[in-house]
Amino acid sequence: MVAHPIPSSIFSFDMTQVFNKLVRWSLVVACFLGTIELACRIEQWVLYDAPVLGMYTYDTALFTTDEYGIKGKPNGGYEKWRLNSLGFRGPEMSIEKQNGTLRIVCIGASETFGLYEGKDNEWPRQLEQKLKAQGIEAEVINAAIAGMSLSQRTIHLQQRLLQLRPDVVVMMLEYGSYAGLTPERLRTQRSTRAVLPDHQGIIEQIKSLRAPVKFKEVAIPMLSPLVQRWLAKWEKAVKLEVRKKDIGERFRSFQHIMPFEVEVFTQDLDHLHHVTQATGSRLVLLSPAMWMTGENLSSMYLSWPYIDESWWREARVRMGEEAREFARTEHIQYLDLSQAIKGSEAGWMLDMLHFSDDGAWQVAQYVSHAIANKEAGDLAH
Amino acid sequence: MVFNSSAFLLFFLVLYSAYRALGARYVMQNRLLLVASFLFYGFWDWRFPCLMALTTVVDYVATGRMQQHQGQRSTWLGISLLNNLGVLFILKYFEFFQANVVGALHHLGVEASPLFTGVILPVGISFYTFQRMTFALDAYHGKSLPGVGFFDFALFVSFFPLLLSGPIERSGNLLPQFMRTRVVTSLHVEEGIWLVAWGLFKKVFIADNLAGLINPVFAEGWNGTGGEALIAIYAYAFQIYCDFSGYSDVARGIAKLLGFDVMVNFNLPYFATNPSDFWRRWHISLSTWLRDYVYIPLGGNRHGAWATNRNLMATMVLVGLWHGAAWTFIVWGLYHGSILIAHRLIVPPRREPVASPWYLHWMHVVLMFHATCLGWLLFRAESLQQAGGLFMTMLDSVRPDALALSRLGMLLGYVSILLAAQVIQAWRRDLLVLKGISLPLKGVAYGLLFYLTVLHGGTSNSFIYFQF
Repeated sequence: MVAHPIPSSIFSFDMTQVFNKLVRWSLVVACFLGTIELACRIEQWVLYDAPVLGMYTYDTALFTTDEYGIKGKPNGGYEKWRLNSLGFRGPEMSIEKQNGTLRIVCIGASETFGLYEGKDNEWPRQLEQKLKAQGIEAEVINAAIAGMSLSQRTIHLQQRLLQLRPDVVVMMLEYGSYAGLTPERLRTQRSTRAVLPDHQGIIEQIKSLRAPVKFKEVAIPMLSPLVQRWLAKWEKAVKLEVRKKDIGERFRSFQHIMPFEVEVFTQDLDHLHHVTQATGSRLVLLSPAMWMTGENLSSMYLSWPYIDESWWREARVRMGEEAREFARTEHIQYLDLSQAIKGSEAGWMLDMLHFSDDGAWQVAQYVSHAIANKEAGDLAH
Repeated sequence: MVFNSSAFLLFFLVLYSAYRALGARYVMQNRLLLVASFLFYGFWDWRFPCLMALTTVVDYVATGRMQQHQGQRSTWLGISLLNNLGVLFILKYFEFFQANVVGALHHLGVEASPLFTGVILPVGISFYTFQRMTFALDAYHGKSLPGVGFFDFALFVSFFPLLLSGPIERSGNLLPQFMRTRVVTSLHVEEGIWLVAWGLFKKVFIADNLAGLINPVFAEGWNGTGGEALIAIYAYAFQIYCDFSGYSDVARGIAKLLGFDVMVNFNLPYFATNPSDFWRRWHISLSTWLRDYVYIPLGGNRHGAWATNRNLMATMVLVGLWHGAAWTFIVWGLYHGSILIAHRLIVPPRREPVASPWYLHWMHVVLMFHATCLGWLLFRAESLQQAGGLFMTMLDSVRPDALALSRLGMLLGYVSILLAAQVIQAWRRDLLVLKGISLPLKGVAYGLLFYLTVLHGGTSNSFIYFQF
């Protein structure tokens, strides 16, 4: 029996055909996806003056930098977030304080800025409503910037906010930026001008594509809740895997809190206190809520990939104690949100740090009572 | 379950996988489609498929007897018509008829109470009833298809893409396709996907978004300007067109994906130059049905001008009544009958079409569009009083105020892509002109449709024509 070899011409013909088909369909898919992305970008350029080309997420449209670091973009706006002409989230306001008005400046990161709450449901905005409902003529300025560390906030307060002559400064503490801090890193951190978050990681790069973000916002809610939950789980698992690959061995490498980290934290608190004291404003410290479930901790690896859950647990205790002690010795009002906002209450927290609309309502309630009582106490005194 | 829902997407994906897996076994495919169609209909209300099954059995038996006993054809046709029109009358028209009789008796001083109220109108009943009637009527006229099994007939009646809003297919076109092996080619798939995407764009992006310009004007207590009302009428013209033709496109697209060719239901209706041209382009499956089964049997245009006009008017009133049991629909039918007759009187029909200069042609198009819009005012209004009130408001205070201009801008924004596509289709006199675009352009077109439909579509869980 003679074996008949396959004629090479037939083989090459088939391969060419398959290749051509592949190229043609790839072109169609590329044009399809490119059109959606371009359309989304043109829409955001028209609506928010966002760049048509280049990588960006919400922070590009909302934040900018000056010699003191990151700040809100005057009249910046993006989707549900709107900044006023001074670059603060919320309604228009004047620099001059009105007589008889209690001016409160809230400083913090994304959980204070209100990254996830609906429009006007972030806790500072709700705090103003609650104080007014309690008969206190209050003006609450949400001066929080997503992703801002505690040391940056002190500069933010000193250079930009004290001119507003706030009566009260409510500062929500954060611990994450102290993780893995060494004297060398601290020097670098303090000498480098704060910049907007970079878009180097794969997840950040995907986030800076507008079409998937828009699709997720609009199309996913149309699906059944079961499918939505399944998709959210799948998305998180994929992102976590990508993040692990991005970070490599350093993933969850900060496992225990170091004395130096606590020391710098205390120094920053001290610095903050001096800055507020110098202008006669009253400082109120707010501990982060920190609802630590396995699910929430695993979500934290997406934004804080180097920090292990053991570090978070230790930080909550050590830095919380440090802040409480500092507040006690310096006679500063300290509100422990980790006690007030019970994570077990369904729907109050969206992850370890961020509040839902209901959670923000609880924070506003808690803070407003504390401030109102203190004001009443001061008046009586 | 509507076409623009995630539930339907899931339903169709499962069905389509199973359907394609059956390969060339068309009998099995038909059984699968039959079960799927009844399930699809049952999602609305479990009683709807039961009623449809019962009336389908009666019709199939009656038609069978008609074929077997030539001498009793009229009797069996009568039974079939009673089965179809009787059920339709009770479910759709009885309450309207009863309310008018009770009202008339009240005026005469006789008090009567309604026999029964609160009848549930099965969705799409007018569509599948008319589709089913073609089988019996064709059999009566000796044009029946040989060897049509009960399950084929049941599938013809219940075929889910066409079930709720047509097109009203003819037994002579669709049934033979059920009775042979179908080949789903890549062309079928390509055309099918395009029709589905284009139809959903028309429905979800244009029709659903335009609702915001229309509904407030027709809501109780509206007190706006004539300009606002005028824009609402223009918007409604596009809403009803995009809603209904969008459904038809999706239905045709789904049928194409399954390997069936379904008739075109709309052919650029707003490019019509006169009333008869409009009815050759709008809801073609209904207008040809009524032409073939009502107008021509009544005598058509074979018995002089008066009889022709009478037949036209009778057919158009029937068109109005088909849409719903309300005086607004009847007056809408009368209005269209009147303009058809008026057009015949002004421009007597010619054997050879006369080419008119382009400017005259477009003047006719604009004039006919406005005549159609006037009809839509009657069609959309909740009552004749409301239609009259809005018409008077338009006459009194149509001026380009800021609100009207901004709404006109929104309307043009929503319909611009549709108009651009249709101008090209009308100019090239080819509905399939966009089929020939290059692959990268197809990618861009699908991308744009996806962006507008999915990311900027309106929200509605129904189609206007479901109520008919």
